[in-house]
Amino acid sequence: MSIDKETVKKIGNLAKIELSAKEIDIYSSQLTKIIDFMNKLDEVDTTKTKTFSNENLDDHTGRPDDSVEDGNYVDKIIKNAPESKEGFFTIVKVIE
Amino acid sequence: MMELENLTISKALSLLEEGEITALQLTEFYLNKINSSKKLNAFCLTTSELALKQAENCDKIIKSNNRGKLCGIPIAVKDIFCTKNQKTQAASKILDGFIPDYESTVTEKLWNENAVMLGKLNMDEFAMGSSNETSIYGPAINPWKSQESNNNLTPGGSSGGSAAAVAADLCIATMGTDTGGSIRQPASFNGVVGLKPSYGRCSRWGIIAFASSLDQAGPITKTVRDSAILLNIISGYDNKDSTSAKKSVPDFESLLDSDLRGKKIGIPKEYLIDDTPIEISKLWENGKELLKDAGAKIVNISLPHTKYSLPTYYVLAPAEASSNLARYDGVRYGYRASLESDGRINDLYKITRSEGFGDEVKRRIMIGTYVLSAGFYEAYYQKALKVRKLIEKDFNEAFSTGINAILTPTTPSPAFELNSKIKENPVEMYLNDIFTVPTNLAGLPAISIPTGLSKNGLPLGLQLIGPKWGEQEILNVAYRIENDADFNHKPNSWWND
Repeated sequence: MSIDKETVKKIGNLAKIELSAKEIDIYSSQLTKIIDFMNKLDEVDTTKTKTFSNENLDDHTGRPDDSVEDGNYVDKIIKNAPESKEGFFTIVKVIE
Repeated sequence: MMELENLTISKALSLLEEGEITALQLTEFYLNKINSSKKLNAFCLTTSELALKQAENCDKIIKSNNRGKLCGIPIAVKDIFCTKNQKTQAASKILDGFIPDYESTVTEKLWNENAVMLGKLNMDEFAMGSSNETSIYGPAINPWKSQESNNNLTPGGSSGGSAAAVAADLCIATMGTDTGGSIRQPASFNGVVGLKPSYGRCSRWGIIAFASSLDQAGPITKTVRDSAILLNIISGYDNKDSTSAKKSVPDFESLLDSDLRGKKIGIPKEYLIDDTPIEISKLWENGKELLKDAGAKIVNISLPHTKYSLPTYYVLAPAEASSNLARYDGVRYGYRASLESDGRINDLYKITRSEGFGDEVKRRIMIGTYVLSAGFYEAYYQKALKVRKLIEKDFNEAFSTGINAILTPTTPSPAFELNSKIKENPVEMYLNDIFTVPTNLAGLPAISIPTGLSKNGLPLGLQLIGPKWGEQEILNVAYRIENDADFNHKPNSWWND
């Protein structure tokens, strides 16, 4: 199956990645090769197979209670932000 | 002064304890070596000041009872582990300038035992790659050279810097991570030992996520014993990672036992792939002979879904990656693109991600997004999860017949030249992981140990795969192979400035 340029543009949009015309060309050909490689899975009969999930792994613990045990370190978090103001992350204007 | 070259953890611990050397001497020795080995590009950050401070502290407490189990042992860790107040980027531009305010559980356990942190190690960007060529820092270089060419070789990936640093003796041991072979393939390419524990054996907390259902941390060391020592320390339940197992941790080191009489070793016929180079099949044969001589029984087994492991992996790992990497948006940390004055929020996300991620990472995010998108989710993602179940079942059935471990080659070739794989077809690079990926899919432990040299004088490794939680089994078999194969080759140190 071929991943055409329109599909690449659509995926780029879903993945929030800006793509140049040249990249769209390259990815169209590369993604086609990768998807072709994946299509080998069609050979396997999985009609009676359950999906794998981590719940099936023995001795795992499941999610702990979602309780707050710490907090109040806005400064430490903001320190890594590319831009911030008065304890908030700042972004470009989103209201028209 | 004592000869400090090629020390193992166990040897260094006894020298430190006996007062033959000090932690400071050892740390300075390695810092000097790292400094004069820049050509290898193994380190992306050296934490000299911290290392010297930790070493001085070790020398103060070395005689006391409250010293840790790794007191004075200089270690470096892959750049994928968040290290408190130390730059952590997973070799990506998108984490430019990120300085975590917290420490990953695995590395915290090392420092709690008074290991000395030498720095952070080069890797493929977000651990996506098998050659180290996707790193923002440029690839780490394999210390080994082919006898036929002077060209630089790949150290493998993604933990290429971690394996190269051990092989070049720039530290005593390192910590890597393995999602599809990222500890074992570089260990094999560099002639060192690499261990991927069972999924759930170690906490993933504070490790930058690539594919959460597959990622696992593990040691890269000079000996099997050293891997056992480090596995003892990093294993165990952590309430910050709900997939870490509440499972008792055996004392892997004290239980090391090289007596293989009565052990059954499985040889999966599906791992003999078309065009396996003769030197690889010969290595495998030698491994079988060695185990037979040690009293083990060699049993032919079948893992019929092996050939579907790579396509399954290359659906599931990118799917999980596309979700995990959605957090990099240029808002909260790392790189943010500069926008035109009329730029909107969507432009901020899209341009930041376009400029911040490298080609391979973008390719995998796009593949992951595609296989999770409406209309393709069942055909690819669900399908791959079902085939993953069958791959797990193959292993379970093999081990249920009483097999103690499975023996395979680690890689289909020795280290290849940098820039040699055809860039137009990414699948070619993916084929490198053919022997390592199945164990990640099944959540099993596996270890790579060097056992021979290729015709061009490059190291080759054999892999042992164990049943779930069977690290001790594979450590024991590896311990015997290490002893009997007696691989004692070292690369010539061409890289010294």
